[in-house]
Amino acid sequence: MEAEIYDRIADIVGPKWVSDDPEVLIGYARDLGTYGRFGKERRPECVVLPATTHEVRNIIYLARLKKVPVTVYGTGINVGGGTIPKAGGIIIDPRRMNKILEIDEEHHTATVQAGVSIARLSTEVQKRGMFVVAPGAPALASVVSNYTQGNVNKASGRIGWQYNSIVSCEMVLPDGSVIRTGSASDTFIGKKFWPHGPGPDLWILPRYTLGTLGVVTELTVKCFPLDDEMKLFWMSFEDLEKAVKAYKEILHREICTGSSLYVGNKYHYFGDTVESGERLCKIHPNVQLILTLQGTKRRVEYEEKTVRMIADKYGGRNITDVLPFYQMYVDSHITMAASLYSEYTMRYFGSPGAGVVLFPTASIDKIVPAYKTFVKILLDDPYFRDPEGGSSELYTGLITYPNGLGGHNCLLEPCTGGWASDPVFGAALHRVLPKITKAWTDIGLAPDQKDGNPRPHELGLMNTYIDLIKKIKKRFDPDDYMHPGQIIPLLYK
Amino acid sequence: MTKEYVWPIERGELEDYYDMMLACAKCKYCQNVFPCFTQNEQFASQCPSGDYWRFEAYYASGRIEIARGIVEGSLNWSDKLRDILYSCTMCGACEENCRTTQRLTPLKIIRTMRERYIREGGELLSPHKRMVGSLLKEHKPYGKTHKSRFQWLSSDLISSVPDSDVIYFVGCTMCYQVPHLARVTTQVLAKLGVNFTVLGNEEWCCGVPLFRLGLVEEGKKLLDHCIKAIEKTGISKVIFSDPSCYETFKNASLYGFETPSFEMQHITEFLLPILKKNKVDLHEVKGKITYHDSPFLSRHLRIYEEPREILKMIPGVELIEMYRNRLNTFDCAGEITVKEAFPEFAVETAKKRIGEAKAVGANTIVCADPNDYRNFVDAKTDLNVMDIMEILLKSLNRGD
Repeated sequence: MEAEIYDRIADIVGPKWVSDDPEVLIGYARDLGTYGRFGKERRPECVVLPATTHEVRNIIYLARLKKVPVTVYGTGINVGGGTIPKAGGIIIDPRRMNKILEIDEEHHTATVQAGVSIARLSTEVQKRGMFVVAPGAPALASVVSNYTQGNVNKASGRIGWQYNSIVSCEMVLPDGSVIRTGSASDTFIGKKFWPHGPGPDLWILPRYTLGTLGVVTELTVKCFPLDDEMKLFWMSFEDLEKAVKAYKEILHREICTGSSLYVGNKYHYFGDTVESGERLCKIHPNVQLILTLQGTKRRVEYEEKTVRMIADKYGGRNITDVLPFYQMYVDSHITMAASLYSEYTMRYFGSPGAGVVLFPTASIDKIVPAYKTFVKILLDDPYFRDPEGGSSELYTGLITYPNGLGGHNCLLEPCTGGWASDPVFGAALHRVLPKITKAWTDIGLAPDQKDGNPRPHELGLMNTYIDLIKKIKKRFDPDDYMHPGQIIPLLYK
Repeated sequence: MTKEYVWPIERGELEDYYDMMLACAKCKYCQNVFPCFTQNEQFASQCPSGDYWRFEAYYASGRIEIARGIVEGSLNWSDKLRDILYSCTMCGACEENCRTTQRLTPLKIIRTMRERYIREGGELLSPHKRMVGSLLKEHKPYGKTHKSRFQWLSSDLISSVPDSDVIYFVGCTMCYQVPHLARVTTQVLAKLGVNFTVLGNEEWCCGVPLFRLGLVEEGKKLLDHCIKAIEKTGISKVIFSDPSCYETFKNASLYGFETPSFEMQHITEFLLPILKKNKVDLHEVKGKITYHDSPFLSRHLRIYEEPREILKMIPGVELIEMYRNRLNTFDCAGEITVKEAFPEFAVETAKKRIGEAKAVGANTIVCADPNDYRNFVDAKTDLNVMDIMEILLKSLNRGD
């Protein structure tokens, strides 16, 4: 990096908060997108830790002037290389912007700076009888990153899509100007409670852009009241088809705020520790239907009675009363409504071979053939069927849960044993993934790229959405220096 | 569990950890209190060096990347790298959380990296050089003579070797930096009727600063002397005030020693059953007291209930927990090598911990690690700072 640019950044934030030392830069060179040997490190040329929106604005303005690429780090948790630069330049690490600015109990909203993690915000809102929805998010992810970027198809069964909880944001655009959306844009109101307008509705502007359209420095999100009562119900089946039937009936009856169907290695998810996960594995049933009953006491009583009836009808075993409920399970249901991803499941975030294939479906019936096809493809592969190579007891993974829009998402994971750095394993994974993709497309499953609704025979990011981002970016950032190459290929350079 | 899913924990060279380095998912659980145990968002961080310098490189996740760079040859040893490497307090928060999440061992990687740095001719920081010089010459890390080690001791308190049941291994920080605490501890032992002795001139530094700096061979010489000196007395039990000394002895087998033949206990572990069994008459000591868990005592040695039980036995003590306690404790950065090389960082971190104690409404912070005590005192707080032996002695004498 040119000394002049570096010095000017140091002037903006103070010399203590900027570095171009290789020993510091290497810490910003990888995220889960480069896990194992699946991707190479990508180092920035300079890291800067601003403390205010004003400082961010000045950095962006300087970068635009000098045409230096800018990448936003968030908390550095991303599965797709979203926090590491593709073209060097500056990394903005918002770690010092770490304040919870307001928890508004009257309007049920919370406003945070970019460096606040979900865990920190959850801790404070739960003290006030509320929760924030964070399905599919590791607890230390940044609230701002997770709500604006998030995981493309994670929805809470109760609340719906996570990004719907965004109330307003403050964002530094690529030209260095600052916009505020929703009621935050009206300085006379003073409270943030309304996401849409006044004026053009820019509520969704930062959604899924990973800093390519600017840097979100503050975000206001909805908080939801905690229920009077919450119970968990755990049903096990030996047969996937019967489990699916029971699941369908539960969904049709519109009971249970959270519902997840887990097959295979997902048993691990329910243990607080590695050891408890393994204990659960030893006594595992083949298929588990995991339900959250939330609401008033009367409502929960009714739902429990109905769920027990459904379990009897389809031959499900009620194992709620015989297995210990681990704290992880309780926590994740409180704060995430349906998803079981939590701090304890982080060990699968980077566990050897946890390649994830996201294939949501609008039709729950397709889970059965999809699962069978998936297992068959793995068993046909010499690596995965080899007990010395893969791990036969751990290779099957399936989760399905409601997408909040009346449909269901299905997620299949070819989880296998194998070392992260083992190229043989990597090759095997790359061998089976295209086959799984083709087989599922053939049976009518396609990836969701629009609110969970399938788009037949289309893979990758939703084209129309990308087109829209491109158009906005051409206006906002014609020189393509805001996270170039991340969402959109390097188009303009 | 299939064997593929168990990381071999003990490895020799930095290269042996390479697959671990690649498997770090950057989940950041090494940086914070384990999320479901977070009690207050302002007191949620857990890595003292990262909390102070803020750049990723100062957290375990960044140091793992540095190690990867060294192994891959894309990063060379430098003064900056040395600073990053030795600013780690080795509190073990990263290792504790990663054990549950990613099942990696970042602390062992940092330790191995230090050893590699030294082996490849890396130059130590000036305070560390002075410390090492003193250790090699006079078997103690601080700039005083070995002869002055036990100047604080009243000989009437200790028994002769044949009459003693236990050896009190006092430790360098106690002897040289906070000798009044050493005196207090011996008074407590005497008051409780313990027949104890000390090694006297035969007590050398156990080598912990050398092990932590990566000078393993030099550390082994000191530890070897200490083990032999203890075994020579024939006394079968040793008690420690300094958790770091205790840990070094306990982990002797990691450095190629046979497991010592004598029993080892921290002073709080040793005294608790005596206080319970003898139904000692304790006087009232009034105070809103919070106990600071030294990470070397809690995370490394799993001792966190014993000090609390002792405090609870003292009438008038209102024990208040800080938000980060027991295995989730926040290190105050009093660790001996960090304190010497980065005194400003150490004091600032102690102030943060004191801030937490104040936030929960305590008027006294009690610790059971002389290094932490010293660091809290250096932070010049208006909060009372006490060692657990001080408060116990006060209660044994006549209370308030």
